[in-house]
Amino acid sequence: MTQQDNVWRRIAAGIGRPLLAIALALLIGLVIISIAGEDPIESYRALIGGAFVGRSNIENTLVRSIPVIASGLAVAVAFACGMFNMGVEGQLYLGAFAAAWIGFSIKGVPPLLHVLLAIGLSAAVGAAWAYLPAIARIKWGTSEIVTTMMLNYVAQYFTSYLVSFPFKEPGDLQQTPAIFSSAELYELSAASRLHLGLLLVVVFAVIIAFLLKRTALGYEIRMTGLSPSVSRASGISTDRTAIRAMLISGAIGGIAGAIEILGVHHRFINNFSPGYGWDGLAVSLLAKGNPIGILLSGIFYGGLQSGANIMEFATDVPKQLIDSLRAIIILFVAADFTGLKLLRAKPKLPRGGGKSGCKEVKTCGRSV
Amino acid sequence: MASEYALEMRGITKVFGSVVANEDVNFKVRRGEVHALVGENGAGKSTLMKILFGLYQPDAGEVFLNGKRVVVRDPSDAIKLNIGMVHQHFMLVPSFTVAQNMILGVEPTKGVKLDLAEAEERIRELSNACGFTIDPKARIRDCPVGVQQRVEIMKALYRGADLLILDEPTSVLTPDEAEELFEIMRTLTRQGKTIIFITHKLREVMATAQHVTVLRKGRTVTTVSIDETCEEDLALHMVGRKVELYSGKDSVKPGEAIVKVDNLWAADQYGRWRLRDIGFQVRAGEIVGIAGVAGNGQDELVDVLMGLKKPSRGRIQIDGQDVTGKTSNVVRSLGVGYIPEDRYERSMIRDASVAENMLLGFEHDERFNGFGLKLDTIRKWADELVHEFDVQPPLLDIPARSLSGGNAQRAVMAREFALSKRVIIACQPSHGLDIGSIDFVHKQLLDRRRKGYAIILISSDLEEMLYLADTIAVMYKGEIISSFPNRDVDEKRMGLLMAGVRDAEPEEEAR
Amino acid sequence: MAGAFNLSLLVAAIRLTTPILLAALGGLFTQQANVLNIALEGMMLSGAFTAVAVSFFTHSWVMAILASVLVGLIMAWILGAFVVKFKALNVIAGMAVNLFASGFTAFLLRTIWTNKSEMTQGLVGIPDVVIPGLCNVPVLGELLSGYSFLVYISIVLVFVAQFVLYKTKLGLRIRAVGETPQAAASLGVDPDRIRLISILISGALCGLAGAHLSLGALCMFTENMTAGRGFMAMAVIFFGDADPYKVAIGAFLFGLAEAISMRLQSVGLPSHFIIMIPYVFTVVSLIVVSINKMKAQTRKSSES
Repeated sequence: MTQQDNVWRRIAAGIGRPLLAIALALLIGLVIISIAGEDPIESYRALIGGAFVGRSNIENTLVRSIPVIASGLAVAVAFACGMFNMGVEGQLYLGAFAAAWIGFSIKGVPPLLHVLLAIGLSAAVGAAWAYLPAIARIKWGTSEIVTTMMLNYVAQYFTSYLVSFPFKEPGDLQQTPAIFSSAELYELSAASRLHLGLLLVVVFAVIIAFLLKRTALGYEIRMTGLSPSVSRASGISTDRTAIRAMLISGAIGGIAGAIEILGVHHRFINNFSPGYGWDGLAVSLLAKGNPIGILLSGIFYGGLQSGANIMEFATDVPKQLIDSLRAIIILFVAADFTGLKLLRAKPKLPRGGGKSGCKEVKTCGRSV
Repeated sequence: MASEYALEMRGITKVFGSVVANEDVNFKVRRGEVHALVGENGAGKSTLMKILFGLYQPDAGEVFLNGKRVVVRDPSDAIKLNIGMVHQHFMLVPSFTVAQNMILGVEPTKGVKLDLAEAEERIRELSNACGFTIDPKARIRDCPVGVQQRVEIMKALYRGADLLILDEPTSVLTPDEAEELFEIMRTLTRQGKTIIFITHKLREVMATAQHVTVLRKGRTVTTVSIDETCEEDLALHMVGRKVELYSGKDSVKPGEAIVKVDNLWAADQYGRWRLRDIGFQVRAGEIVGIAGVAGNGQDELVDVLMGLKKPSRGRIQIDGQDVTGKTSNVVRSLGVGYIPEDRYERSMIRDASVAENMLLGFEHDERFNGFGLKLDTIRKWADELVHEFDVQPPLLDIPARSLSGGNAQRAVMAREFALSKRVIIACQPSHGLDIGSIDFVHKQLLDRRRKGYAIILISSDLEEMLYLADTIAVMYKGEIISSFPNRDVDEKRMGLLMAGVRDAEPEEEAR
Repeated sequence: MAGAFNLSLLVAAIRLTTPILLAALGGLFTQQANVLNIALEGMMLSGAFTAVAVSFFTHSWVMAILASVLVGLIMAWILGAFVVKFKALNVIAGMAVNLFASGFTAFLLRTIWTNKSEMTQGLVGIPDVVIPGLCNVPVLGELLSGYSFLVYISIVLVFVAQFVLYKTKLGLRIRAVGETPQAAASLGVDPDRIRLISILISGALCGLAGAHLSLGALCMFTENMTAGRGFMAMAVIFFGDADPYKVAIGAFLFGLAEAISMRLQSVGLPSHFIIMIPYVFTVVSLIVVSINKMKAQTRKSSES
């Protein structure tokens, strides 16, 4: 429910803080690089250039960002309902394996159908994996934060077993046989392996945005997240809504894994994820759960990753510095500095009649 | 001694935003007495006590302890000044023992180790002095509520309290336990302690206190000696006198019964009966007022009617359909509008926009669903409602929390009236509102009455009740002890009923 | 033959238990204060790196241990400031601390010892302790003697933690704040201060855990060498209901599972299900605990 004249102000309010956090983090990075005796300007030029300048760099960035965006969307749906899905990483692994299994074990399926089958099963597996923590939380009040997190390890070890023993391709590597080409996602660029998954995550972002903002279910999910007690009194079945949100979240988590397998690796490889699920959490936080914002912050995140490689290559600054800066960004975005006197003393910005900010405010249901 | 008064609060004023919680309140307590502080919910009792205990700072006014002016900045100041408070909701750690709870914050130690033995010894001495025994090693979660309360009292005494504030101490007790508490209170005053006893149970005031102060709408109504008053007087002081007579309304001929409640029983989470054999009917075009001092089962009745709490026994019919034990969305889908007392717990989401709040309960409405929610249609509809009920500012995108109390209530009414087909349940609908909004709320309710709605009004404001209701049912301890047409009422009878004194004359049949 | 296998398995399990145990002993204080601390991993990793760096430059394992504890405290202080003062969600802030530790230790490693992904040379390790007299007793000697110094410290710390938690002022306050913060606040105990203290304790012990991992068990530092042990510690805390003795048992079970799975791996058998068990068990026990809590509540309400 957006008024046209408010759109730009809202966008400004929504990205102002993350931008500030990013600027602060880069400033801290600048100091660290200088102390390490390197040239910060040169390093940053390499970082940003490596992320967003030139076709192959941009493509690399996009490839990196695809699974992060999908994971971010998964986190966002649960978060909108006041739940933490810390288990995206596990859902991603299981979904990835399910997709790979469909891909290498069924032969002679028409291409589109093959991909749909793989994605469908991965969504089902991801949702099933999220169902147990969801039920435990709703029925018995078990913290979904801890259960989803613990189940990540179970999922990771389980897929690791599958790929090391029953479905291991002969040879030294812990990987499954390659999927049939009918299950591969269309490759947009051979050099960078940029694939159709990019389009898919954009479509998913739009679908999730539509779901949350323009459907009755999405409305109920958001209202339940904002105030369970009012929602219940208003006739929303909050338990069922919360479980649905977790199921959707888990399904997207599974799909995130499927896209990475069908698009990039074309087989399941043991421990293939460098923490996409966790990056998704960060990206979702940066975008405050806004699906379109997740697209942007996901690309930014992917850019940091691929740019860091270029920076390391061009200068002597190790790429891990960028991981530290990402952490600092998250800290600053998560913090509420309004309690600081220094900031409070600043003159308040003039407020127009249509004070925005309502949509930006996300309470997270509880302090844990 | 400096003064015969242990405590004097003079000219206390406290304002929260646009709500005046205390206005020039004067409150004097003699040393060694039990002084009752009574008033309805929201009358300003707890604000006053929180000021005394340092949880709030007054905007104006002074506090004197034993004749000396003091400033209480926070609870630890209060504790240092020998003020102790027993909160209504116990401040106890359930898994701790009595002794551990007692010493928290003032732990005696031997080296680095806690010295529990010393604490236990002192607890025995203290409890003996108060005339009861308590096992310092018992775990709080295993103790009955009455014992937990004694632990709370002893916690204050352990810290050297001379002035004890008991905040609605009997609300969680059985009658026997309450009797024992009163005995302890007498023992303590004999030892020179001063007790402020907050309650709205007037019988208890008469049984324990030497003086009583009545607050209403943030102001001191009166302070009287217990010998010079009676329960009926106090009840009327609390709820205000009847000023407007039964005349402002059109006469509407009630139609068929729409809400039928039979033999309804419900218990709270501790298993005590909060509703006992409730039965009444509400007809089309009729406002049935549920009167009574707060805490006599009104909240539970509403919860059960709205499907937010399951009754243990009995039957509820709305518009011919049995909704007993059905969930709130079933009840609401029958067109029951609900204006709750606690807006932000029940009907308005602070951080959602006004437009989103207007949609609560309508999200599955055919008008608003096509391929997804029809946002334009919803906005147009919400805009109409906002203007019809004159919500200021009439903006749809601001968060609900930025609306003032009166405007938030208008928004709630706009939505609930739009949702309701034949039934409205309104709880304290004018509580905390300005005069203009109260007038608006009353007009709207009467308008719906004229249109043939069955309306249940729950209010502790006697003026409002007498102005709006056609039939009044008085609840006392979970029972409807009497119900009668509005015209048959007089102040005295109302006061007696609210104090739990049943009519001597044969009760009129509850219709 | 089989006996020797079992004995050496036990010894391996004890060695693998120590880092998890130390981190879990720290984390149980935050758990008791009802602060979900997912930063154990990061604080531990920081400690591990610091120990190696300080050992390299000062050639003193004592200094290395002290520095690790200090760095653990600093990380904890940052976490505490963001969680307690700036009201960041502790899950998010904790995740950021983990990410920061992982990135920054790798960054420093590569900056200080140009382009290396591990650091093994020029380190003074924490010495093993050989218990005189006992070391020559056949079975007991092998089982009880010859571990790294911090292994023994960790066992002592189990009892210290038990004492602090249940017999001291601080422990009483931590538990009170964890269970009913408003009760503590009403008695002048500042819940935020207590939470911060509990986070600092967890930081110090995680620093110790890290020092043991890099200088006690292995004498090297590699990137992300904690490899999820901080999260194992978290699981152990939930498993043991934040009680020091139960946590010690839980940590040993994790250590044992790790030892068994390493054995299985070395002979080419699937070890995945063994290493999974503690996590599955944690999830199951969490659910059982909450079901019991719920039952207790309904029972209480139906009794009266």
